[in-house]
Amino acid sequence: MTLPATEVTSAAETDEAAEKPEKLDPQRLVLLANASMRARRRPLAVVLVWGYELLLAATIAWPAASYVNGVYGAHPMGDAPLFRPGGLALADLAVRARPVMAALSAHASPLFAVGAVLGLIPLALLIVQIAHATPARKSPPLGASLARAWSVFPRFFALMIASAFVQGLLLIAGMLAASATAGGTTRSMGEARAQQLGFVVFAVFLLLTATAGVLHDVARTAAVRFDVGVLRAVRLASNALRRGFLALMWSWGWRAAIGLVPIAIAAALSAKLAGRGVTALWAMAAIHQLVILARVALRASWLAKALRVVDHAHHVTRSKTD
Amino acid sequence: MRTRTVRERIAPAGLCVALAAAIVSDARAQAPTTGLVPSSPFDVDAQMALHADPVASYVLRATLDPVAHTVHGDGTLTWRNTSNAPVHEIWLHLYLNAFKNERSVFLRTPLSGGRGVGRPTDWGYVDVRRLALRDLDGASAIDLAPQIQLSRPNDPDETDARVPLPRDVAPGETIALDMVWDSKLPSVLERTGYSGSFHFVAQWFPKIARLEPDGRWAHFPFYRLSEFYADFGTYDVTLDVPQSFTIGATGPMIESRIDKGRRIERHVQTDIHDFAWTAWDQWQTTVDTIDGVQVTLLYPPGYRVDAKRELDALRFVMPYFDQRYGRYPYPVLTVVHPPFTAAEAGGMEYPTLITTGGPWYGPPGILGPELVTVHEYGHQYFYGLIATNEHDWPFLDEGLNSFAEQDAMAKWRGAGSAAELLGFAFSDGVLQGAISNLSVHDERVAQPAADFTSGGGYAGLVYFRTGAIMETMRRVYGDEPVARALGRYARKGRFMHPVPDDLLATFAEVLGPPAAATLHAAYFEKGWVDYVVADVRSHAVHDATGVFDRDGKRETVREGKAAGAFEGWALVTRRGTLSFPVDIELVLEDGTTQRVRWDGQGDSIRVPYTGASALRAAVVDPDDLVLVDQQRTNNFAAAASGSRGSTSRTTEKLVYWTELVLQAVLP
Repeated sequence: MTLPATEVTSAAETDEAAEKPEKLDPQRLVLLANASMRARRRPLAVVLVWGYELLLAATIAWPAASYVNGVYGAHPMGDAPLFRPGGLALADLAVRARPVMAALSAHASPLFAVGAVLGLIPLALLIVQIAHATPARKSPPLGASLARAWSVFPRFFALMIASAFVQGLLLIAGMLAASATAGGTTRSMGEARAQQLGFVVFAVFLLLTATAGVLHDVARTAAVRFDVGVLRAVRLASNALRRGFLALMWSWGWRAAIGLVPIAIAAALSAKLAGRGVTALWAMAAIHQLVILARVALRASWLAKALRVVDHAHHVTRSKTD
Repeated sequence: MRTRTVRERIAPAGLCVALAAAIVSDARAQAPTTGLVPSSPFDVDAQMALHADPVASYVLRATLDPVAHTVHGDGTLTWRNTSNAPVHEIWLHLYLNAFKNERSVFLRTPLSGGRGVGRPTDWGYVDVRRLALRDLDGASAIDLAPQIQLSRPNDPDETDARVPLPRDVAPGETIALDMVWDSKLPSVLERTGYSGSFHFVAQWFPKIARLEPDGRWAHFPFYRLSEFYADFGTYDVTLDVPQSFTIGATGPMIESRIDKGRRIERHVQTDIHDFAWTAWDQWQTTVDTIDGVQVTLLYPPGYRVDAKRELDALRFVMPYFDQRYGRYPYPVLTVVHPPFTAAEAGGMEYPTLITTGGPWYGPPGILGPELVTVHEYGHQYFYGLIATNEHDWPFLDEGLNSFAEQDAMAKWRGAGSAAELLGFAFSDGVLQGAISNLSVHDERVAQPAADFTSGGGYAGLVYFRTGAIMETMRRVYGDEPVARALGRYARKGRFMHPVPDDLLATFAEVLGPPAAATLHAAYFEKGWVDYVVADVRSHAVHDATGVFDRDGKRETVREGKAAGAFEGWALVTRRGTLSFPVDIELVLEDGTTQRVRWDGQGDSIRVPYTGASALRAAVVDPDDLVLVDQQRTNNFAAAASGSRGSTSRTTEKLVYWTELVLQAVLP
């Protein structure tokens, strides 16, 4: 597959967007220069992804929340008994809700699946926004970005299926290998040490699974950046991964790790603010959504990094080929 | 010196005294208070029996072959007829034969749930080679082994053996039986067996059944849900294992030596009714002294964290149970944490030896090791010292001990006595209550273990229902009276094999007949209760409307003049057969509350209300005292005109958690 002409220039050190004024078409998307692809320049796209996640989560959670409201809305303290230490009301509700759980699950499962697939569109939109600008070097308009995101959706879907298959295989293989390792060494090492060794073996497979995930992300950025098909995108991603495996894994890893920090902070704050009235509840809701938003921003930052890496790798590869 | 039996102490005269005292305390039970219960010598340790009546004592020697997984044993049983009738037969429990073949009662009984549901991958059995009856002078001996009747007609089970005696044994007479036997341990299943070189050896020797005072043998096959029942005595056991193996066993070790590559230990303990031991070449050991008792922990390599958690639990619970149920009388306690591959050996109790369990990676927020340790140590009282018939009345040991466990855990760890997860604190007692409510209508709590139709029902009723009922008693009647009642029962019943009537009589003494009747209904009659706020109404007070004949004229009043006040009522009903006094809380629109006490008698109560603010809602049992309330979601209701409570916190949390899950798994 040959690359579109625009992509040849995409790896240039200056923005393609720096064009003459008469060529400026605000609906046209042009590729940004490598160093210009930054998540922080596309806050609206980050907010859109967060909004999608919030909407999807609210849709999934709504029936369960309605059920609780139907039961505990009649309590003068509302749902406060569910959070009392000891968990009596919560345990009782869990017992009562057993017949309802099947209905809630039947609602949530397909929503989850459909939401995951449809979630590829805002994700693609985010990548499109990071990778492109208008000729006037402004953020790409949403309509044009959405159209571009829609055009790569089939490729994203194919990549998602392939990635899920590979990652699933790796996890199953990891579990089998860990189990075999633990079983084979129990007699010589003792049960706990053997199981710890099994965990180490599983961790290796977990790392491989994470690597497959990183490859998946980089392939998606390649598909957007170079408007290439699935196989070409995977090949470009593989090249990028091969050229800077440790740097790429580190870039993904530190963002994934740091993404846990706001969750921990929110959990600590939640313990402090719990049961302190409506203001505290709103404050907690705001904090929680800031956590989600921060994690989306970290993901956007990672995708921007992936864009830069795959763009750079492609440029270097082409230079050598030329 | 022969110690008096419980029935000699309590019934029938004792029961009458108890009921008479209970009449006095009846009023208190109606309006529960604390600190007014009549005292008894058994409220403290002073009058507690120091020693058991030694009825069945064993001097045994056991040699372990860890490759063939066999134990060769020999020794002597000295047994005294403590009944008032001559005995012409004895019954021996040969419980390893439960794992001999699939025709055993244990393996053939169709039961789902509970422990021991698997099949052994290697069979286990016990062969009695010699059973020689000799007079105490040793002059003559008759081998009874050929006469042992292992099974009954039409029943191939070989766990409950009858041995006809060549002559009657008179009341008070003592006989000695010399025994030689070989035990083959099964792959570990239901508390006993081996896994690799790990061996846990329980129910391993021919053990005489208990003879009741009326001359009836309390003998029974080994049922999967059933545990044990035996007479007290002294166990003097010498164990012989390979030198590289570490031994853990009932009672203190009084001799130890190495001889020709073998480790030989002698353990002797009085006032016990069973003996179990373990031998493994990988045991790690920690020894500590708690409350004057030498505690030895045996655990696999890599389980140091679990061992520390279990030791911490014992540091709390041993003094606590001393104070609650009388001083632990033995000099040693051995705690065995089996490897995870031998989990079936875990979670069990023997005199001065308990087994715990759980993986080495158990998260600290889930108090599994602590719960199991406290539970199994509690069995040193509710099984070990009190020694009820576990086959006939399992709720007296497992059930009361489940209460003791959750009570101790709550005192130690507070509301999060079972787990603290995701900002929620779960109490052991609450979980017991929630689980027990699932099976309350299925079967009686107080019935023999063999009568339960499923392992799940057995667990839900015997363990959790008993505990939840007792915890409800504690919450309703107060900590001190219930602690006193159970403590008195435990001290009075020490070494005495009490029965359910003894428990009920003690509660009648301390808490009064209504409380004892509640216990009886709950344990023997599938008693249950569900308090319901059936309706709440509130309206503004105004002059009456309608058609009135005044001063010779007919007048129609369509709109009454408002009086600036409100009136209404709350209708609270009680479903089920149990009753507890409860509070009813009226919640007003101005945020204030009013409480009304209901004695819980009768089917319903209508609580009237008049006041300056509208009645918004009503809550029955607002302090969650009735743990066994069958359904809590009907314990409250809002007036039709009342404002609703907010569930925004739940909605917010559900949405946030769903977002986190989405971020974790979305591609």
